[in-house]
Amino acid sequence: MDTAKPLQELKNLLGEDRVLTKIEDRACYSYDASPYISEPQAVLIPRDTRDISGILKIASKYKMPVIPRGAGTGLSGGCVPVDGVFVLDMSKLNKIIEIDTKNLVAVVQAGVVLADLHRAVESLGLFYPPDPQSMNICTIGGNIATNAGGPRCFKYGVTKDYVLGLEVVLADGRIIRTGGKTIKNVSGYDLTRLFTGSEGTLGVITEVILRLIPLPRAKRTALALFNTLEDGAAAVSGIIERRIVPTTLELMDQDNMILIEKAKGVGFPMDAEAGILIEVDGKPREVAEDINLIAEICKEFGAREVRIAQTPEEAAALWAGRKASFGCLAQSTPSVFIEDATVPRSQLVTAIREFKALAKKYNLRIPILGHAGDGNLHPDICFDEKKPDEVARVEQCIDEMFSIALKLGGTLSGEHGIGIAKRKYVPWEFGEAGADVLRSIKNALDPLHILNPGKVLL
Amino acid sequence: MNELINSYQDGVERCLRCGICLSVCPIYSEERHEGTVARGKVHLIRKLLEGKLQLTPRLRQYMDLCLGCQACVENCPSQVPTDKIVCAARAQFVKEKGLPLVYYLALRWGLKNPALMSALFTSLGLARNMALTKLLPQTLKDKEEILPPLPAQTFWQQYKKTKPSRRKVAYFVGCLTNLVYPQVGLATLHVLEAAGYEVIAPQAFCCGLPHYSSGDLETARELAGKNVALFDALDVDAILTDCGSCGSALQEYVRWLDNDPRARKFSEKIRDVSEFIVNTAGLKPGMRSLGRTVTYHDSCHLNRSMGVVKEPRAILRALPGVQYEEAIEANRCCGGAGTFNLRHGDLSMKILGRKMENIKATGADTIAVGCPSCRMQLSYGAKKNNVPVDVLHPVELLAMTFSGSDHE
Repeated sequence: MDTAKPLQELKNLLGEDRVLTKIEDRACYSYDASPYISEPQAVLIPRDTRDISGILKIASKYKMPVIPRGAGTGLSGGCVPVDGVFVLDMSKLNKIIEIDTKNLVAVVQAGVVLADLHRAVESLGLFYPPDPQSMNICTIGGNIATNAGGPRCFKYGVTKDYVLGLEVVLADGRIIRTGGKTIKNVSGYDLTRLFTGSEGTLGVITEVILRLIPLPRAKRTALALFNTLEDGAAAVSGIIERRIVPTTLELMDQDNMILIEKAKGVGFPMDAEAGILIEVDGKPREVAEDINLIAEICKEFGAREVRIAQTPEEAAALWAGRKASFGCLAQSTPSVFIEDATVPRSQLVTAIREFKALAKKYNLRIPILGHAGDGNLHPDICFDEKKPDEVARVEQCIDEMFSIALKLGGTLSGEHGIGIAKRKYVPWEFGEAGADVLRSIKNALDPLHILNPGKVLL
Repeated sequence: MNELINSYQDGVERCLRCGICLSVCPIYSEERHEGTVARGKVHLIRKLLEGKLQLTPRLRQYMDLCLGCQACVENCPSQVPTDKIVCAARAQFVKEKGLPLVYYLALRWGLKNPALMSALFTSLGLARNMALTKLLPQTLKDKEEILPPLPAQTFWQQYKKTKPSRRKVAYFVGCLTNLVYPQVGLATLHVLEAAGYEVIAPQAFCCGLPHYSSGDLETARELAGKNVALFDALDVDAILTDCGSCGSALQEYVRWLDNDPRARKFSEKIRDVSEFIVNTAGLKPGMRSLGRTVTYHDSCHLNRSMGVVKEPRAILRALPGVQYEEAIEANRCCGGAGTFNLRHGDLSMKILGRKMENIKATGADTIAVGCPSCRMQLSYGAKKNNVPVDVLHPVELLAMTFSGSDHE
């Protein structure tokens, strides 16, 4: 397709230096944090919502596909520009417009880095809980497009539970606003939720109204080690049955603990099947009671050891191993798929056992981390992308992994999104009728299929 | 083809593109373009090695946009040596495309020739006295302003040998200490002499770091060879520097000179003066109370290349009448980065602005720093941002505590 005319119109709109077409620039926007790579036609750098509206009008006119990109930290290829699309670099829309302490909401542009929002609201004693591991890099827009989660989400809920309203540029360039500053809003269809998690396939999110809550004043941390996964999972259920809701329940499997211990020597036993990092937050006296009660429960369910941090330094030391896990993983493998198959909490152990059996069957190394409170697992499938036979085995393994997750009543994706990686499994989860509904929504909002084509739906 | 970069193929392939470098890169946080940060640069070099990119001006521009601060390297889960990859790419550019004229003159003519450097600085001093620098065009004037007031006499013009002693240590006097901050050199001599050391200070050549980081490997190696020869015969266990940048380069000589045994011996002896005082000579401050609130800025080379973090802070905390205040992001680059501030003025000033905000928040009246290049940048930042602080080397502050000290 001849791109000269649309490119000229885009340059007229944005200025020459905001339309990057050199191969070096396109290469720099050809990836996210997944193994997928593909170069865009051009990188467009809008300054504001009006620029984006103008871009989409041109895109509609020439049927040129576009894809919004925050910081490129996604793990499923959601913002990898397949089929020569135009990348919309959202990073210049990075203003925190307002932190409204009367209504407890924040109004921010889509390109704001999550950690910057955290810092800004926490300095006012407020709290925005979602905490994906990439929080120092990723943008709010990307968080909403993927409905991001994180360790704290077991207690506090995920991104969608905090999105009150959006400004969205539609495929034809029109601008709409959904929701608002009120917690309660049942007018019409819930468009805010529709765009949340839409992975850039239904519209371009440009501004966001987020709900804030008071910042918990204290937190306490413990590490519990179990000989078997079953003991660990039983303890997690035991904690929840006693009506304690920890902020985080981070599970490390034996493969992970061995990997971390060998590299960092943080004091993990090599023969324990499960390590669970537990954090509670709330009022100082409350968390002190809770953490001790949790330790008792863990012991009751057969924990071989429970370490309770008495100081922030000790808490940091307990976290050190978990935080080192990605680095240890990265150094142990040339490539990795970080999956996020999620099952009901009661099926956690079954899922882990079955995933481990898959690792054996396909001769792959799959250390598993998980958010044990919400059944969100991260099987990290290690492979070498230069070995075609290994790549083929990885694909078969992932096929089976998702059928297991669905069989156990779970989902393809707990927090990363479908992107490229999981689109072929969407009909498995939704059924043909369900997939049809998804398609109808897509066709209604993006009849020309110019918004992040080839993602979510095949 | 790409023979200077090929050895990093494994390094570039290790990058998982996780993006953690985006959160620590001072340039990315201002520019927010992937080409300015490790993940993008490493991907570009990967494509270059795959034969899918050429040595184009655009690629050179991105390779040039790196402070060499190594924050990405320090935080990289896959331990990709982006700083070394960038320098190798710059060297490849110099080999294939040559050096730009300004660099050629500065690196191969000025910095290589101590007498000439001295003459140039003297001329600048004269021109300033006669207010001739006012006639410079604004862009050059800004650059000229980064250079602080020049001393009346260089270090070597003021140098007096220390008393003979059985305990001997060598001292590598860098270009900026000699020409801009001779007082640091004098303080170093004073402190070491007080600790009972005879200080042997040969008139060294430039350490070669400006050449190495601009891709002029040939001159970097030539200077390294000369310096190794100069110090080789000395009967000392340690060669000290007061400059994190020089020190990091001197420690790299063994790699620059392909594992030459004399270079290895030289590199292994290199130590930072603050580290030497704390761990070997013994920290014995004088009685004079300084009445200062001091914060410390980590030079990237001193911190991440030489691994010196605790010792300068230990000195500062031990000084009488010093209230020490740690700054947030104390180890974040100041944006000086050798000549980066001259080449990318606006960007460098943005990075510096954030640094000065953090320093202001400590309420300190003094910034201590173990690198003259950072010191020039911080002094300029203090002036531009109206932050009333002195910028001094930890060893200068230490020397000030001695009674009868003339290091004020």
